[in-house]
Amino acid sequence: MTVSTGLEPLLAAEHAAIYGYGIAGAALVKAQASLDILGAVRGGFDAHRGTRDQLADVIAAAGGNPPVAEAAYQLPFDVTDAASSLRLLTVLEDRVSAVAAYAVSQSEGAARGAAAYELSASAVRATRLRRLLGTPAGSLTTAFPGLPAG
Amino acid sequence: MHRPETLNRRSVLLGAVLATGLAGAGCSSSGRRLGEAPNGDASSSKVAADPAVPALVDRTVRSRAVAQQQRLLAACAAPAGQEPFATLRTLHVEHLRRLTGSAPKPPAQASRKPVATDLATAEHAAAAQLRADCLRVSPELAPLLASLAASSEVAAYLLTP
Repeated sequence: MTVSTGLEPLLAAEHAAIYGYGIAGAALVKAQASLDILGAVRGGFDAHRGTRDQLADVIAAAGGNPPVAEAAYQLPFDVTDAASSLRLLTVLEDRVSAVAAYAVSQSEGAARGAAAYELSASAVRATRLRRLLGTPAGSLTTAFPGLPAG
Repeated sequence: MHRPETLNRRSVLLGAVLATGLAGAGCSSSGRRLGEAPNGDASSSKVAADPAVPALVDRTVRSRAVAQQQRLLAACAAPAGQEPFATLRTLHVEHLRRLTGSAPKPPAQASRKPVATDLATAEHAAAAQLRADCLRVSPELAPLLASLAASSEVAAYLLTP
C-alpha cells in the first residue's frame, strides 16, 4: 500500500515551478535583465530545487511514492520579455503558496513543518518578485498568503 | 493573490500537475473549507481531527496568536502613510479580523516611526512561534497559522533594508 504524506501535491507543484523558472530565466537572460533580477530568480530556482529534493526524501522515507516531473507544462501566458517572465514567476509562487497551505492541513509532524516552511518561503519570494515588477507598496502582499480571500 | 473561483483551470494553470495541486489547495468553487479533502470527503483526509483534543488546543493557540497580532499591530504605530508600516498595519488588522471575527481598533498614530530592525525581529519571532504551533494544532487551524507565519516572514522581509 502506498503511504500518503500529504506532501505529494506540493512536490508536484515544485516540479512545475522549476520548469517555469527555467523558461523565465532564459527569457530574462535574453532580455539582459539586471543582476538584481537575475540573482533573485536564480535564488528562487535553487530554492525550489532544494525543496523538491527535500520533499522527495521526506515522502520516500515515509514509504510514499514521490511524484516525478512532467516532460513539459503549459504556460498560462506567453513569456516574451522581462515583465512577462516576472509575472509568470509571481503566479507560480502564489500557486505554490496555495498548495503549501493545503499540504499543511493534510500532513503532520515533519511533513507539516516542511509545508509550513515552504509556504513562508514562497510568500517571501512572491513579494520580492512583485517588488522587482514595480508593484505599488500597498499591493506587495496579502494578509493570508496561500489562503482564499475572505 | 488570485481568487480561486476565478481560475480557469484549462487556460490558466501551468500544466496538469500544478492543476492537481491547486485543486487540492482548497481552491475549488464548491465552497469547501481548508482542511477538507480535495474531493470534499472529510473522512478521507490524511489528518483526522480528534474531537477530544483540538478544541482546547485550538482555543489556546488561537488566543496566543491573537495576543501576538495585537502586539505586532501596536508595534507598527507610525506616522500616517509611512511604508512599510502602513502595509504591516493593514496585514495585522486583517489577521485579527480573521482570528477574532471583528476588526480591531487601529493603533494611535505615532509621531515617530518604529525601529525597523526591532520590528523585523519581532515578526521573525512571531513567524517561528506560529510555525511551531501549526505543527501541533488540528488540520482546521494549521493552515491559518502557517499562513500567518508566512505573512510575518513577508513583513520581516519588507522591513529589511
